[in-house]
Amino acid sequence: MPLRTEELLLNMGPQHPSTHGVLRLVVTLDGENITDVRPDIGYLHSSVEKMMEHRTYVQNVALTDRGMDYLIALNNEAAYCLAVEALAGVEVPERGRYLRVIFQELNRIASHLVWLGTWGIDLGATTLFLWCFRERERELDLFEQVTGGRLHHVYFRIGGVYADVPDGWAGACRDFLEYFLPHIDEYHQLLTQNPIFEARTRGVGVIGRREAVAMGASGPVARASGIAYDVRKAVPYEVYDRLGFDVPVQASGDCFARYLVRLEEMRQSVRIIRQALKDLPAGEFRARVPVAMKPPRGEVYVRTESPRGTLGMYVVSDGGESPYRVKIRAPSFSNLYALTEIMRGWKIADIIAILGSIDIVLSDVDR
Amino acid sequence: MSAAERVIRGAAALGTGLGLTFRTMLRRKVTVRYPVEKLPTSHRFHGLLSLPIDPETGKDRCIICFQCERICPDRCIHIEAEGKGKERQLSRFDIEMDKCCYCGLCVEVCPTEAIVFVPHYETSTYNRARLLYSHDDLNRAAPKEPIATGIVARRRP
Amino acid sequence: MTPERVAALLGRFPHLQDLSAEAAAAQAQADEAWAAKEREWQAAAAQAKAEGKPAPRPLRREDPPVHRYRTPTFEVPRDEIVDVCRWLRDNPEFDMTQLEFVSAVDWPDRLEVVYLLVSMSRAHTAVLKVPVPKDDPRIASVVDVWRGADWHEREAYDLFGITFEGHPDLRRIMMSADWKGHPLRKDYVYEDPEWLVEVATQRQREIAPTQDGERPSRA
Repeated sequence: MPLRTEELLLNMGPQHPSTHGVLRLVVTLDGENITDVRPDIGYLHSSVEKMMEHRTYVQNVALTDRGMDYLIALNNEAAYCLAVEALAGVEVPERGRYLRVIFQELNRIASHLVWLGTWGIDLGATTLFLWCFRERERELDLFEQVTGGRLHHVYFRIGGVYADVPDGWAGACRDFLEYFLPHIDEYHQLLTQNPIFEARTRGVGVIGRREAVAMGASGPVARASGIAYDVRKAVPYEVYDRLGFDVPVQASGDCFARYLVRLEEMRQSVRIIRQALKDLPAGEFRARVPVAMKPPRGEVYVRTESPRGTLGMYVVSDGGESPYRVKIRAPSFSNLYALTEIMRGWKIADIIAILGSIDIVLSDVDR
Repeated sequence: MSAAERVIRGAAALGTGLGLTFRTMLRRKVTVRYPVEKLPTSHRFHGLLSLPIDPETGKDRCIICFQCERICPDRCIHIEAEGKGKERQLSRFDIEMDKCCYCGLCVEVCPTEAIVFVPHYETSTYNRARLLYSHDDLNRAAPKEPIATGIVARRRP
Repeated sequence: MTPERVAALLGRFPHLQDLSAEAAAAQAQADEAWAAKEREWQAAAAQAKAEGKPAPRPLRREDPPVHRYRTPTFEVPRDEIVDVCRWLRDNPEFDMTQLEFVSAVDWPDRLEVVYLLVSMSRAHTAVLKVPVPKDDPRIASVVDVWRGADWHEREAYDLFGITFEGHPDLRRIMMSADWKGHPLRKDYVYEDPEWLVEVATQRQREIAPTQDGERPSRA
């Protein structure tokens, strides 16, 4: 009897532990090789854009925390506040801007730590998960001392930040950075040379420079493909133009490159926070903005560099108390598209490595 | 790279990693046995909402301005008042804690600091009805002593 | 975007409308009118002072009804959008290689499809807007220009009901396939699907006996 083979249709998700949320991939397999991937998203669609149309500008800050990417609440808040400030012509005091930069970078570290830990688990490195969350826990304590929240902060306000940092917080923050930096080296020792890790990531999930541009990839995914582009450098917002930092770039475009880029980004974030803490000016941290603010008619598009890529906020005002339309340009949305498009041809086990390396948060993809 | 080289390199890398893991095992432990041990929360922690009682008047400081009700993004605060002028009294101050998103906007807008956060986080229950906090519940949830959050009250714009 | 580049774009595509420039002109006009009014008031105040009369009531400035664009914005006719996009991408002067998103805005009289283009090398941004009538929301797809437009166009189709002609796979992306209506339209009214009402009523019936109905007591 001749051997009969046929293609296998496999549903990965929506509740698969390695999909980092509720993502369903309909994978067509020929043996172990992937011949087609059809992603199905929308399970976490909360219609936050619609909700924002029904709440006032001030209330919407609370929505950006949870409706969008929940791991980078402060970066979301920053994007939204920057957009509304540009719309209403609000000038943020110096201290407020520096505090915002410090917290955005701390959140970048926290987000990358979650990514590294969970990706480690995907690839079988359980130790890494515990270590990353150990460091992140200390960082969340820092957040809690200032914002009162560990994940959802609602700390940034239109015109600045809610409250000043308590006495002694800057010292605690420096202590944390001091404690954290050697741990990045430990991750390198643990993973970078590890033959199992290398075999699973090096040369896997390659996305070329041209493809990355055409498919709208941004952030670490684009930088791992050789695109030296960072919104913080290209169109500086807040006070990023005064702080020195490098944009890590890798040329190979595989999972390993994305890993190296993110580890280096954490190091650069530490550098930025140290400078910002040193330069932190005294004085006001918040401009006076009425609770029932009504920005003049108009529209604005603001781009920021979130840990996952270019996070854009397109806000249209019709002169009323709530925005007429908010469009969130979610970085994960385009990154997920780019990576699922190039999954064809890899092995089934590589899906886990590739998906993990995009660092998606489904709440950001679906919004 | 030859096969032998690869084996040696891989073994060396594995050795480094495992050595590191072993050394970490000898470091101080950071885990906490949660229900038995608890980590301290910060003074600004967003836990339960409460209406502390002013020891001078024996009542809470709410002046029934409805600001918190209006700012709440989830519309989970419900206030009703009776009477006119100086006689005005709260007849209802309910917070639906299951809807609350702990954003703290109500605490921020309150002109008299009548509504504050308490660093208490174990509020889960099997019955949703228990998460509707009435005026008395909110008074009872208040801390005995005021908590020094270090947040300077917002000045009116 | 520099004025020369704007001029080059408008020279190549004469049907384009530079909305940001128009808004700026309208704003300048409003400012001028306001300045004239203010001068008038000052003269009246000076005269009143000289005559010993009380000063006239101070003026309150109403916000002029100008929609201000803080990003260079162009209105593109519906049939030219693909050409404009391809030209902006391929012209090295513009080099708009990245499409940030495709979305729409629902205005009372029309739907506006919004394209946000970014150039990484030139560090400039442009918004292209295409008004489409509400009763015939069709537009050509730009998937051939940027592959990344695929999901963005599906999202705009799902949430606004805009049909992108030439899109390889135009399905709903956020909502389930059997969803009715387009949620981000202003006239959209949510209705619980029948099956959901059924399930919820059933669930209500199941949990009813466990509700003790008494006020909770807490320490």
